[in-house]
Amino acid sequence: MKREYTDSRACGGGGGGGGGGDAAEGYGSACGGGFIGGKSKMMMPEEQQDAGVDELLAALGYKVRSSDMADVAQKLEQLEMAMVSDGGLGGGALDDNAVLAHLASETIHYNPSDLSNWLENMLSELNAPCFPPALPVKAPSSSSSTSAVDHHHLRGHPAGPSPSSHPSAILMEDPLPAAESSPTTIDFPDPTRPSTDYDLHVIPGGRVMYGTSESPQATTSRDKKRLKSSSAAASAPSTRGTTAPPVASTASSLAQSSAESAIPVVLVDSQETGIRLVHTLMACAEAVQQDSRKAAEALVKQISVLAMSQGGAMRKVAIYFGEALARRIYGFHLAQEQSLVHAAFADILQMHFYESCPYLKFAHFTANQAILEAFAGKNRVHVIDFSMKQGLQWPALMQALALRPGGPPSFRLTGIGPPQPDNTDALQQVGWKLAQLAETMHVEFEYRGFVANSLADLEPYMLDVASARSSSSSSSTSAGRTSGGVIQNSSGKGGKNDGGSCEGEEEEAVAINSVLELHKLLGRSGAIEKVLGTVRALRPKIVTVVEQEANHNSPVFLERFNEALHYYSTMFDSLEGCSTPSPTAAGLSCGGSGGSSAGQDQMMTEVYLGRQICNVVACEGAERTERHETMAQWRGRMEAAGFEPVHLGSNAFKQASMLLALFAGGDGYRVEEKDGCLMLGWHTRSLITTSAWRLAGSPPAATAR
Amino acid sequence: MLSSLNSHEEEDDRDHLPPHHHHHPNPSPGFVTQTGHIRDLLITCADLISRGNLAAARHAVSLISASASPCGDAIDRLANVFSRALSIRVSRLALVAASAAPASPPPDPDALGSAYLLLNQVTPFIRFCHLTANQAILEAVDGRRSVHILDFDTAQGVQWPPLLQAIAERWANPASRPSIRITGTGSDLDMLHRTGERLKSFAQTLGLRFQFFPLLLPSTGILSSSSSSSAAITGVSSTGSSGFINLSAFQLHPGETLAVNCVLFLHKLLRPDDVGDGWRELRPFLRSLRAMNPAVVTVAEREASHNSPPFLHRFTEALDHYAAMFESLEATLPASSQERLTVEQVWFGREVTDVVAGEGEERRERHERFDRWERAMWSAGFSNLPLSPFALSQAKLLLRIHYPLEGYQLQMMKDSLFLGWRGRPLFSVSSWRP
Repeated sequence: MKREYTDSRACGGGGGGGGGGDAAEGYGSACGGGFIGGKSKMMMPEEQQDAGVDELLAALGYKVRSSDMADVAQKLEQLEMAMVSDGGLGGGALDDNAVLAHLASETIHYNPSDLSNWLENMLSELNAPCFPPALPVKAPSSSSSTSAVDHHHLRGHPAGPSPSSHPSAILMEDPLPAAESSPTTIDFPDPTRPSTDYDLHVIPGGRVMYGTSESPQATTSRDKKRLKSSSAAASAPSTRGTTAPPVASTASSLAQSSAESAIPVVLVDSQETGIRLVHTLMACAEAVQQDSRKAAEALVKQISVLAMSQGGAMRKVAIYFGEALARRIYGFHLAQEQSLVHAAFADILQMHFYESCPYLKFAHFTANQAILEAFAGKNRVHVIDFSMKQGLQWPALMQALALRPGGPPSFRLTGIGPPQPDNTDALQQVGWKLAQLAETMHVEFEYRGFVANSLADLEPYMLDVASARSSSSSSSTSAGRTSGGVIQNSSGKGGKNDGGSCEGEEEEAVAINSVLELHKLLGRSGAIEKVLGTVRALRPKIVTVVEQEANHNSPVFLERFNEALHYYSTMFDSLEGCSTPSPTAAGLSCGGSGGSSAGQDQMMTEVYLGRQICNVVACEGAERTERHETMAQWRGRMEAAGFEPVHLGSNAFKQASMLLALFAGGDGYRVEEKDGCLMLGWHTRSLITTSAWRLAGSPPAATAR
Repeated sequence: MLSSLNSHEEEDDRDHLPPHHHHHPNPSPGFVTQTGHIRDLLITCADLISRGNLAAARHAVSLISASASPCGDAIDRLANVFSRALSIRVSRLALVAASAAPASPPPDPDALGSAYLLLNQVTPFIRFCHLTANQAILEAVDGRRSVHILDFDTAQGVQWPPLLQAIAERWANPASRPSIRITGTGSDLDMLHRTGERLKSFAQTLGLRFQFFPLLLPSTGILSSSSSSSAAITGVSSTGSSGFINLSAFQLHPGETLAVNCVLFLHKLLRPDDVGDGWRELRPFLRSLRAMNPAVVTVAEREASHNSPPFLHRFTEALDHYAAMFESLEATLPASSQERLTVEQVWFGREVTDVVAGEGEERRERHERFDRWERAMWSAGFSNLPLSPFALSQAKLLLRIHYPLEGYQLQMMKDSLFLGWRGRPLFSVSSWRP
């Protein structure tokens, strides 16, 4: 048993090297944990792994049949593509466009300039040289590039710049046409004074915030962003409609002088508004906390305006938090958004979240690893998935099972999901596809979709765990089952075998899996206890839990707000950080999601996260469902409910890290192992945690630890 | 390079040097070697100076400055600034030996002024200090009708518009807003008047009741050009009870709540002949503040020990402190940044020259670590007023908005906030009450 278990993990860890390229494909999809489009995305650079892995596999006694793996991998990928395009994005295309249009039309153009005026006034008094003339200026070409841009930019505007022309130039650079609303100012020399070369200094403030990439090689992209910032700032005066003649004169003198040397230009950047934004967000939340409605109303109006002066992740985060605060202050209730239509929409959004960043892929991969280990040596396995959605987690597990030494076990899958708005049987459609996949892999498979309004409505008997093999379900019969009704099937089935395993048959090994689901129960008193009781009654070999690593469930609003602000800021930072994918990654994303662009994935992901922000900040009571808690809090709850932790091994850690490096280039994302749990975060901040549990006191299964 | 240097050394005992080699966060092997190498060279040179071997030191400086470009990477630029400071020290020592008066060119106040504004723009340091101090003030004067801020070293007053804005936004109803009075101090009366006018017109646009009073402080301001002549104008005596600073001209109106703001100021009050806790100028100053019974005193300081240690230790301390500064600029500004060049060469360059080449009364950048300020405040009868979670969150958010997520670090320790770069604290902000 132990041997086999180890072998299956070895497949996950290094199987890719077994047979060169072909095997690498198999490796990627089979054990890559459902990284969609896994074949190419997970392709190991051959030169990195040709040596060593074969030996490792051989030492473990594992025979890689590369031809089989390639075949399976190809089919798996076809399936994933089919599922994604049919089940998710295809249906959501209209919604996507609507959201895009909505976002575009909501952009506010406004310029809060009082503070900027003050600075402008102040800076105009400082006609001082910016640096001693004695200083040598190295690299004149790069330093003059900034001036060249300003030059270019300003040259297009003879005496009377039209207010609209600059913004259009900016629009080409920035999908959200908000750059021109930045309350930046340019410091024009007092016309009554003799103008010196040092009146203006470029201050690339807006650019600095982009600088998450710090390698020297990133200078090019930094400079690119710098251009954007400079041009945005340069256009501000024309947007404000002030002092057009000075613009022209400055422009021409600047154009001349910049040709000669790197003339510094003072553009007061958007940082003063940044400071205001920071304070206003915090002060508004505090006013909400203290129930001072008037102050809160006054402050919340400022937020969206100030947010527009920012760039990058911060602008988006501030806008979402500002909107959430406004909803809370003005009491826009979210009943509509909680409706079923929106629940379906939420599924689509989550698909985009899956596509655009590695968090869900990581969750699926690590949970699958734990399940696979718990299933080692079992011939009848049953996964009950509390978070079925589009079933993205299961092709990878199925394939790993298919490749198990000694042949695959019989695999039952029970997918639980909410009722669909149009009464379509989404769960059954997902099941059909999985059943087809099982057939191609020659895995004995049985699927049941189970519709429940809440996990708390589940009772152990409904989940039909200990059923014997009496139905002897082949792929086709399982398909027959899934095509039938849902709950009805369950009751019929449950009547048949209420009493545990049949004669001589091995008992089913049960795994219960929940990805970003359990926190929704925390708003209903007693619900989580009820569900954990049900889980315990099912006597699972393993329970895998994935949750956001944050405490967004504090009863104190301000604490929740602060925590969420930093959590989602980091999340948005990571989205920005991986939003410029390498050509390969971009291709993968397109291939995987059936034509939806990476940019659209990111935008929809932002909407997905924005809804969570809104829920955390604006909702209370039963409406507040995004009650994320930290792993420490979950640990207490799980242990109180009679579970003990199963450590996710360092092997899983290594694999997750490696796969992550392949997905995201390894920049920024960090996998961390903490108290046996695996966490994925952005830089130093953990954002999502996978943990595994078993019944307290149960034997440590057939695991190799 | 090192070997040629060694040939000029009589006794090469660099083993005695402080063992902590600078750890660069981006360990590409060549770079680390390079970093360690230049750092070693600089310290060797400082060591030669401290031993009085000026000829060898001069040779070492010339070796370093030959390769240290002000536009290279962080270590190059650091070496440029430090080797220049060392060379000034060497020349001064030589001049002293020849009993000639050390002549240091006065800094150009206008150049410093714009370098300061750039520093405020392109680094988070000043903004962090201002924002956090403002928050402490806002919280301490919450609900008061009439607020008076005594601000030490007002300069251009960049700290105050955000505070005024926050007050205006906090109270939507103008009638419920407090009146604000700022007594701005500095050594340049003209600048104070200009700053006052700007702040007044800014407050006016916000509809705030606002007054500004300039108060001349001789000799503390680094931007000072001439001070003694104008001292009489404001009635500040240069021979007051507190030595250099006389607050007798300061007036607190009845019913006013006082907040005292000391951002990057207190270290200027340290004196070369201060022994232990017997601060000759700082102690009376803090005591006179204590006597005014302020609602809050905000203190922001550099987290570095550039005051009492003997030269060589001070030098290595400064080297590591400014290395972290330069690295943070390296990470947040493009290589071609003129702003960075100005901030490093003009602003930090002046500081480094002061710390490395200055001695006696001439040396004013006498930075001390937080625990020393804590002791000074305690001994003057102040206790720590903890900074709020609001202040921490706000500062975090500030860093997030403007600067890379990685690198800059915030830490709440001893109820005070520390801003650092990759594990090295660089600034502290704290608030105090009687």
